[in-house]
Formats: sequence, C-alpha cells, structure tokens
Amino acid sequence: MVYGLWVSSFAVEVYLLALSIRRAEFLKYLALNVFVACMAAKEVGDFFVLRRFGYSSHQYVSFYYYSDALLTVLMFLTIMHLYHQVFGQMRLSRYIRGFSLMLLGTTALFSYAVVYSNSEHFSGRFVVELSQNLYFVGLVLTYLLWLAVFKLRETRARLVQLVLALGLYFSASAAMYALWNLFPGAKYALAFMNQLTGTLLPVAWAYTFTRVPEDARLVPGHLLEVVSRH
Amino acid sequence: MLMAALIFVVSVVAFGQFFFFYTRSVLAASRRHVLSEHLREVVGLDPAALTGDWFGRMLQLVELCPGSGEDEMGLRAVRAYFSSLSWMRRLLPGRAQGFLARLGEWIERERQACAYFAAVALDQRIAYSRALLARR
Repeated sequence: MVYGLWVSSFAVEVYLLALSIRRAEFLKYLALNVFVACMAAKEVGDFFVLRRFGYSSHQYVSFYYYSDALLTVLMFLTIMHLYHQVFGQMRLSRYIRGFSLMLLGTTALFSYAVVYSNSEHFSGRFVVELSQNLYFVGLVLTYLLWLAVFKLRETRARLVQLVLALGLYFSASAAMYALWNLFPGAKYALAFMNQLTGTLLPVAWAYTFTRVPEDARLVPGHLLEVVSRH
Repeated sequence: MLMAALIFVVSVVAFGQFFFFYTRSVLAASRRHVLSEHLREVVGLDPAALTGDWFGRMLQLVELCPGSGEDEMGLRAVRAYFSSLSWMRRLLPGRAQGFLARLGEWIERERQACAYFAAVALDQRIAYSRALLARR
C-alpha cells in the first residue's frame, strides 16, 4: 500500500512537471514547479536509500526526515510565491518576504531550544519536533494567505484552489506530526499517514492544473460559481 | 506535550475548514456546465428535479463509465463532503425550526450541488467514451 502511494505520488509529480512544460507555464509557476521537482527527487532518493539500507536503518530515517524538513523549507518559497501573486499589485511583497523568513528562522530556533532542553533523545525528537513546528508555521502562513484571498475577494479560481490545497496539506501534516509527538510508539501507522498526506498535495495540484483553466474566475468571496472568460 | 496537543487540535480544525472551502471550490467549477441531452436520455434525468438523493445513483453510473481519470480527485473530495453532509442531516431533528430548519435547507442545497457535480462528471465521461468510439 505504501509502495503504491509512493509510485502514484511520483507519477503525479512527473505529470505535473510535464504538463507545465507542455503548456509553457513552467516559469509562471516556477516556485511550485521547483518544489514539485524536488518532491520527485526526494521520492527517488527515498527509494534508493531504502533499498540500500533498509526501512529501520538510521540512514533511511535520517535521509527521510531531514530531506522532508528541507522540502518544507522549500515549501515556504512556494507560499511566498503565492503571497506575491495575491499581493503583487499592492507592493507589499518585500514586507511579506521579510516576515516569512523571520518566522521561519524563529521556528527553527524555537524547535532547537525545545529539543535542546531534552537532549537524551536528540536526533529523532528534534526531527519530529522541527517538522511539526515547520508544518504548523506553514499552516499559519497559508491560513493568513487564505484570509487575504477571501478578504481581497480574489477571483482567480486556480490560485484559490492552489492555496486551499496547500492549506489541506499543511494542516494534515502538522496534525500528523503532532500526533507522532504525542504517541511516538505509533510510528508505523503514522508513516503510512505521512505518505498519504504527501500524495495529497501533488494530486490536488494536478487536479487544479488539469481541470481549472487559467482564466476561470470565481464569484468574489462566495465560492459559489466559476465563470470562465472564454 | 501540551504544545503538540494544541497544534493537533488547531490543525484538525484548520483541515476541516480548508476541506470545506476546497470542496466548495470544486463544486463551484461544475455549476457552469450545462448537462447534455445524452445524459438526460441515458439517465432519464430532468436537471430541475435533481436532488441530493440522486448522488449515489450518479456515482454508480460514473464508476461504470470509462473516463480519462482527471476527475478522480474531485469525485473523492465531493464524496467525502457528501458523506459528512448526510451525517449532519441525520443528526437534525425531523421537524426542525428556526436555525436548524435553515441549516437543513442549506445541507439539502449542498447535497444537490454534490449530485449536480456527479452528473457533470458522468456527462463528461459519456462525452469521453463517445469520442473514443468515434475515433475507432
């Protein structure tokens, strides 16, 4: 089952990249595409490290969680890209970028401080704690972005769905890592859930890019109807 | 531990909200689609008479009809949304009044939107199958 999710996740990521190249939208959604490419590279990396060292090995666990944490940091660039798209016309991008980087740095320091005070299980706990905090900060940033989208009556259907899919991903991941922190013994069940949430984002984005045209518009604020400008 | 519990609760609530809005944005995308005559003939459906109770039947027909697979994610999300709406409806008392009555009406409208979404998916799959047959 986990392997099935793994393969489907990788296939969807490749599909997303191929779609954006074919439609000449790679540069327009550069941050998203770079993130998706890194996700696909991580899937491949995970597979080879797993085959070489085994599921319970220290190498696999380290590779998996540290690459996941790096991927989450990269995800912040994607959020900033979406912030830039929403606030692009208001010349607020510089302040948003600064705020996001400050929040990211503070989270990393906070996570380090929390685990430093409990250093007997340093490595494993640090990674779970860091991931939980990073995903939660991502959730807060996405929630603020969603509120801005709602308040500014953003009408671009594709942008709205991309933001909502990101919110789904961050909230599911933050909840899962928090659960992991609360019940460290249930790590195998949670590893499956982790793979499932990892598949959620590329599938939702693939759905959006395939089904929602670039010029589709929502009726402001209500999320009731989509009116295409064809 | 307290921090992890707090993050868990907040994240679950946020997930519920994001799921609600995501599904509504998916449903919204199907509203501008006008159902074809083929669908009306195949299902014997009058779009004006479409209610939430049609959702299950539509979904069965969607599963029988081959498609490109592009609509799978939307169908899954809407199916989960429909189940939660039906669950909420069961919790409402039979003769609700005031706020509960308005909530019941809103639930029925949402269920109807889910049925319309499934009808649109079926319509698109029928069009896809016909195009495949025509190519042969």
